[in-house]
Amino acid sequence: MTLSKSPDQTDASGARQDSQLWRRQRIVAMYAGYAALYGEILIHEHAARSWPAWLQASLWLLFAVTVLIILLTWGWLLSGAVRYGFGPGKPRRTGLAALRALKAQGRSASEVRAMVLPPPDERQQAVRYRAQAIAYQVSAAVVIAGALYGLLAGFFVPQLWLPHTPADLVPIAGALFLLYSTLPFAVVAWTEPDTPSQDGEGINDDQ
Amino acid sequence: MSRQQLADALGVNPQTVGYVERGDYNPSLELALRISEVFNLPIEAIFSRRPFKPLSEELYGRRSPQEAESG
Repeated sequence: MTLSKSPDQTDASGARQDSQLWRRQRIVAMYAGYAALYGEILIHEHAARSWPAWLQASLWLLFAVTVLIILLTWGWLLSGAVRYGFGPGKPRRTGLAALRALKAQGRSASEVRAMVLPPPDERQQAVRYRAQAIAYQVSAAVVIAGALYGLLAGFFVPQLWLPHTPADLVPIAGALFLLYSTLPFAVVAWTEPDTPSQDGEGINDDQ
Repeated sequence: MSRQQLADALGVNPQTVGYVERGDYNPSLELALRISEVFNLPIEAIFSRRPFKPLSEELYGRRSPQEAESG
């Protein structure tokens, strides 16, 4: 469906502050960062003990940088700016005096909250439902695959690796935490098209 | 009318107006009717399944030089 607009009126796609490509790069950086972190832990556990001190220090530095990348991208993904459909977006500016006036009118806290942080509109709700559905499908696939692997390794193919020690279990727990805490947001940030510019080109009244 | 003003009039997020404008989001019938009320225009003047023609062509049957060249 096309909304009527002047043929001269173009989208400001050149100056996207939050383009889809940029969001995807950060999502990839977060999950790839975790995979790299796991690799670094394995190297530290199995190979780096015999390394010279300067090489071990370099590994620790790489470890710190990777953790920083993961934390930054994780925080960005959960922040309100990218939670299209999950949050109300920018809160409306409401001064202290206006809040006091609302309180004097006897408005409840939930009413004031709805005025300052408006509820998601129909598009945001649709985006939220779609992302939650996709996240559920991915989560279910991960759980089923893990359960099948556990059954296979536990009963039928004893040569397969199973986690036993805390060093095995902690990275798996970390991966599950990262996956389940970010999945719906990652789906939204990955699939949403480029954000329209905030200032926006006005819509002509003479259309 | 700015995007923010239209969003306020419709009770939606300004980004949603931007997505509708770009054709990235098809609004519900309820929202489409609200848009037509705001502009005081029939709904078919605002939305179409095909791209709108330039206003000059609609009104006077003229084609732009670029379109005339391309045939």
